[in-house]
Amino acid sequence: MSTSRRRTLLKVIVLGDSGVGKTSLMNQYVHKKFSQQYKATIGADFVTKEVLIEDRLVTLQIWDTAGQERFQSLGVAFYRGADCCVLVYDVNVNRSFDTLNTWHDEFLNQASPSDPKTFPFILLGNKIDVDGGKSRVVSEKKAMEWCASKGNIPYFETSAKEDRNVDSAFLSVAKLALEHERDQDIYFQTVVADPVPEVEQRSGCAC
Amino acid sequence: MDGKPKGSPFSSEKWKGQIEKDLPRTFPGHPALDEDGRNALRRLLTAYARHNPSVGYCQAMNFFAGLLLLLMPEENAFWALTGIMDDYFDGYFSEEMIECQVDQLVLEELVREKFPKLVNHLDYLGVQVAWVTGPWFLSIFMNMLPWESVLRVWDVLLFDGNRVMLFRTALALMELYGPALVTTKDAGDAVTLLQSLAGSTFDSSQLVLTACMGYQAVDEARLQELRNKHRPSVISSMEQRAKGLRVWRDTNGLASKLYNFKRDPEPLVSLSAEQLSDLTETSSGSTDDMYSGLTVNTEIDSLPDPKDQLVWLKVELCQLLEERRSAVLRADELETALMEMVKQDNRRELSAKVEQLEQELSDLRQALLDKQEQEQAMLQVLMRVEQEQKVTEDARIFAEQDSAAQKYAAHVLQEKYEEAMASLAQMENRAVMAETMLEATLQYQSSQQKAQLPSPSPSPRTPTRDASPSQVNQDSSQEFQPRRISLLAPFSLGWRDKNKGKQNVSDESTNGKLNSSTEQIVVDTPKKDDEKQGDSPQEGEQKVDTPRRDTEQRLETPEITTNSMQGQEEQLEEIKLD
Repeated sequence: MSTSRRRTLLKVIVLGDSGVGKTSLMNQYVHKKFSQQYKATIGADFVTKEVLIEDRLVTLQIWDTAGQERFQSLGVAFYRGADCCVLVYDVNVNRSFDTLNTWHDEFLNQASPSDPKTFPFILLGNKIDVDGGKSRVVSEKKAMEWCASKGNIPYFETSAKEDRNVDSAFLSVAKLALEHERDQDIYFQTVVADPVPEVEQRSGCAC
Repeated sequence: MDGKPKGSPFSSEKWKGQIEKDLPRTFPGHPALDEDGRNALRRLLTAYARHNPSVGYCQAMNFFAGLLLLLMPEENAFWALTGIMDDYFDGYFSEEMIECQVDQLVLEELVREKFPKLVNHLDYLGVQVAWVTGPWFLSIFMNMLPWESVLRVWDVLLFDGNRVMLFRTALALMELYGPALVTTKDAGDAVTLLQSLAGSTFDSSQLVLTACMGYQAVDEARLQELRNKHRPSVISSMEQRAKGLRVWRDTNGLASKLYNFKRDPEPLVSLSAEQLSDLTETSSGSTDDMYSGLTVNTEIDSLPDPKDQLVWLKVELCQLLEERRSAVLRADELETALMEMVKQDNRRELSAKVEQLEQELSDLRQALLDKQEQEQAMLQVLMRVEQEQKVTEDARIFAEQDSAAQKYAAHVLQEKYEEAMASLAQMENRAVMAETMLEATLQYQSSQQKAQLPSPSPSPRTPTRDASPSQVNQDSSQEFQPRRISLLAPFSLGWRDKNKGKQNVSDESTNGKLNSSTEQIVVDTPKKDDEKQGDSPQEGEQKVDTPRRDTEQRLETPEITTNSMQGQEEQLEEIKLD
């Protein structure tokens, strides 16, 4: 049963500075809703979404975290066992881009994955809709360069408000996570048990 | 960590950004939080940040302040907030958030104690209680429970003067929803269910009753005891995290860290040994040295006794050493596993290569055998061809010899033939000579005869006019005939035949033909001598005409003969001159 859980549940952590739109992205993806009035996330929030990848039904377990730096202290509890880490920054705020390194390193440090070099990250440059892109300060090129420096992290430019690229970004997340989880299974030589019950119990899925 | 600004104007600036971000995210849409309400909230939060820079501003405080502002004037709200933050939740929302983490460990122990079955199940699912209860505590259940329940909990909390109510409420919620949680089948379900169940805890009385009556044993003293028990581990993990981050940044990754462990474990152990000796030294020396030597966090300041600190540090050091050792072991294991994998890989690759090579070798051998067979066959064919060639060569030589012999024979024959031809030509010449000579002689004789018998000769035709010409001719010819025949029998048949023909013309036409043919020869001979060849049509005419003439104009023929005889005489004279 524990192996089946591992096989179908993918834990995704969403990190990034406060106010870059982590909660908005997550809600847009899971509930297809956008609101101007989100409450600040305290500690961490949690949603699940089922996705079909390569004929396989997997449940994305998305952890939305608080953006304030000091909440990183609590990260160790949430980060462990993650299959993918989504880094989010606001293309209109330089600082949110500059702190990406901290989030990246802090995650690897606290999640302490067995394969820090190859652990799947993904970068989302959010709020590309703001002011028609005029207030943008972080160029796509700069972001791509950063991604390249971190081992070719996939990069998506998104708008949670206009639902641009959100689905494709999270699909990529799911694929990366699935890939990583498979590698982990191989790495730990976990014997595959019957994964069927997982699918049975899910009746009312939102996708 | 050491750079915590204390009361400088910069500090308020530092929080300002976060406060501004959170103003619209505090109870968004609430009518009380209009422009004025937000300004008040900003002032309240900024004031507290300046009042207690060690906390400054932490997310969640905006909700507390917002709630307080809804209930009381701005200044009262400030003092209430200060009281809650500094007294109830000391060390909770500070930069390190240590007490928050400690409380979660304490709660987990309590839940483990009270609900072993539930915890068992959650462990099985891989769910940590803190995932859900952490946000509960941080927000003091705000946004987690229905408003009424939140306010009831706050009531009790403020009344109690400590945060025991947090634990009691959490335990009450576990008690209420534990049975449902046990039925969940994965971590996601468990967390989602607990969140949604808590959010629908509308029976605030039941909740408060369960919390306060059910968990009276959970009091401040008990909690302090548990907090003291768990605090070191939180602090150590904090240290570790800070160190880990430093190491992570220095060595650029845990992988290289592991690699370094694996490569030279000794230096690392000795390093830690050095640290240990440093520690023992500092225990006798000043505590300042120890601090500088170990770059300890400022949190250690809060620990009461240097001796306790020393013990705790030793414990931490031991833990670290243990961890390092295990890391080294893990690295070794990984290395051996890797090596084995590599070896296996190599072996597999090599065996595959060997197989491939063997296959190729056998292929080549087969090819070689085939080639050899072909070669042999070729050799045999070659031998046969050679033999045949020899045979044909022999045959050719024989044939050549034969042909040479034949050629020689042919040559000889040719020579003989040429000789014969030459002799024939000679004979002919001779014959011609003889003939001409004969003719010459004949003419000479006839001229002689003419000289001897002058009367008949000048007028040979006179008798013909008088008598029958045939008689005259017969007479003259009869005189010379015997001699002629005797001398020129083989050569001048024409003459005799002519004469005969002349005699028998009237008898037989066939004879006439014969005559004509002989006539031809007669005509031909002088031609040969003269080497004139353009007269053949005349000859034809003569041929054709002769039979008729034979019959019709017999009389003319003697003239012709005489004419020709005259021509021949002239020719002879010419030859003589030559």
